Amino acid sequence: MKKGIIFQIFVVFVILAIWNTLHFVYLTQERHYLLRLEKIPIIAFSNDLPALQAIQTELDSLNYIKETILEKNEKIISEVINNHNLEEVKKFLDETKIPNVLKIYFRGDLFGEKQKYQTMKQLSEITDELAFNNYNWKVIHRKINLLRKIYQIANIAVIMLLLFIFVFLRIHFEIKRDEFWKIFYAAGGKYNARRHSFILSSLLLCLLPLILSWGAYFGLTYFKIVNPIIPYSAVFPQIITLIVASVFSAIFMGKRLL
Amino acid sequence: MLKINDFSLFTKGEQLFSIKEMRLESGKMAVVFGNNDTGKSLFLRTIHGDYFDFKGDIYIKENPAIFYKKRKKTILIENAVHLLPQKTIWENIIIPLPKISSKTKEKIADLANLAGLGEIYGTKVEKLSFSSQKFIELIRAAIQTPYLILIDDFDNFFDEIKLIKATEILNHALKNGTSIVATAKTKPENFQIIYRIQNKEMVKL
Repeated sequence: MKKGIIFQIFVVFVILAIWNTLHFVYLTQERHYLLRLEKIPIIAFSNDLPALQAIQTELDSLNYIKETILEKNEKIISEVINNHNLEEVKKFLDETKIPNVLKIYFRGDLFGEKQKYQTMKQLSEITDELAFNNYNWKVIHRKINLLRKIYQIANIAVIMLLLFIFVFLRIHFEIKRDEFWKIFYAAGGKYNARRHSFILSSLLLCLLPLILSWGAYFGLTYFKIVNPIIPYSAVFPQIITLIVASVFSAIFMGKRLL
Repeated sequence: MLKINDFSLFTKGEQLFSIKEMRLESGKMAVVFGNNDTGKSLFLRTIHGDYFDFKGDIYIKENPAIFYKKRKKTILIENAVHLLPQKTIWENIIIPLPKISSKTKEKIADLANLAGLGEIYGTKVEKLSFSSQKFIELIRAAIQTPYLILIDDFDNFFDEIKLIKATEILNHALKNGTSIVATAKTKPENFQIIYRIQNKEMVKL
């Protein structure tokens, strides 16, 4: 019996560890793509500085805007002159109408197609000169969407695997004990003992692998071997799956537990 | 401990036997003997709460037998052996025990010694004779001191010498207030309370 329980705990622990690894790989990859997204700004060029300043204030209040940088044309000119030693052409540059530049950086996780359209529309009201690497942005977005789909399918697959393995192992090891329980009751053993034993082992099978897998994860983050990116909420689907699997096992065991 | 009133036992609609009254005090043993197919085994199963084709009342400690259906206070030792052959004598004896005190451990060792079971911690049950296996069941029942121990075909398991040893084991339970009802094919000696089933009647001798 003890060997059976230890084996089941180990198998459930391995599946939970795989599940946590899936979270970790997905979140790491997603974060990588989101960081790449956040590096792609919309750049607006305009000689109308007050209009740019007004729209900058407006944009700064939006939650999907990470950062806005307004570069005034005087500053740009002086930087160009200083950086490239262009004192001789200073007069020419002063006369040339170099526009002011507003760079808008977005939060990768909140900035979608709708937000892009809205921002572009707002900016187009003050200037037609906009720059945005739309192709790159779309490619990364497509990759993120694909990654999310794979993650969802993989989650469902892990849940099904955990349910199947858990229920199969529970039933297999319980049926193996049928003879023991038959003799236990014939020998005068306590009524309901099998049900109590089943509930206790189910609790052990739910709690121990969870504690072990999350303990391993916290251990790895504590020693800075991996970044702590898995949210605590990821434990709830695991708890629910384990509870559902325990209930299924109890239903399949049926009258044996009475 | 055991009260039976106006009792009739049936199988497939046919009456096997009846008895007006049976009383068994705490710490006493009764033996019921009779030929094959007289209903001895079914009688024990009825008291145990496993067989229901009967009329009349059965009370164990003032409660109807059905009261104990889910909280068994009786142990039935049937003809078939109920042991785990791959396990040791000790493991088989402690199967139903929730916890084992050092006193219980000592008592089990004494009773096993009395039964001549030898090394109880290392010997597997499959290597033992039928009578030795039955001794294990007796010890396992006696050590639990239930309200009632019901033994089917008591004389089938042991020869005369072993029967004395078995009685000594059962004395442990009797001294602790357990009552015993055993069945036998022939009239036993050395027992004070004896019932006989004959001509569809169970009578006290």
